[in-house]
Amino acid sequence: MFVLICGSGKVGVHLVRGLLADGYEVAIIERDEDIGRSVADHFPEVCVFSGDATESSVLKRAGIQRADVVVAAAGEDKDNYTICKIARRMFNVPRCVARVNEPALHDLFRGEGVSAIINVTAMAAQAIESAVNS
Amino acid sequence: MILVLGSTRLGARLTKALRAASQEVTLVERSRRYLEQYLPDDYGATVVLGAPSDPEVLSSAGVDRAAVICIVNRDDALNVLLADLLRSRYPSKRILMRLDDPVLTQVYREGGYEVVSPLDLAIKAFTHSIVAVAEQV
Repeated sequence: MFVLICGSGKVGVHLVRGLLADGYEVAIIERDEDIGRSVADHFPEVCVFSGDATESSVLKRAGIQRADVVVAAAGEDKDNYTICKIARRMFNVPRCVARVNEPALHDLFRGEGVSAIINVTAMAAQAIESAVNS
Repeated sequence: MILVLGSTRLGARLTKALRAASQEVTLVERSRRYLEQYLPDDYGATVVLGAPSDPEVLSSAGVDRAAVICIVNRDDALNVLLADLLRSRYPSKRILMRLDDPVLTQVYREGGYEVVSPLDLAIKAFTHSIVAVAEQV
């Protein structure tokens, strides 16, 4: 199984570790060259592509054609939406997972066939709330 | 009324051109800096400062009255999100959008959107001029 992660950041790094441990093949597209280099140093078995994942040429270079899963984990909703749109419409990627900050946009992502929506802020708030209440 | 989303160089000049063609124009832009940078003094349009993805901002810009919505930001990803968001909220509105990425342009044209690609137009104009000149030589 080949997983293409768009936008690494802190969430991405933890995710890569878990996916590699489970035996997945992983590639990453990262816009920030310093972050990209540090990810590449951490995980020599991961291909890191430098560039903007909302550009179809960059996605192609990273091998989106053969991706089983695309993870849109960039910081901004508009970028993750565009990544999922290209993945679903042009490359028929079977499974897309997206990080979405704005709850009002969840339906739009679902409408594009995005299988899982992760709201990092809401999850953190929920975890803190339940910790406070326990 | 024509609703223009994005006071980029294109958005500002489009606003001015539409005004010159006697169209009523409302321009929505999130960045005060862009408005100051690109909008000429004699623009003659209504300007609303705010995020174009915010329903309240659009409602105060009079989206219900708009005959056409033009989405002209420089950022393809932002235009993609806005186009789909606006179509889901206002299914009967005519939407024109700016895109540069050729794959996204194809996806959105196939999806029934009217797409203007400045990059495409420039390439066609350059090629046409060069080929036309070359044929004359």
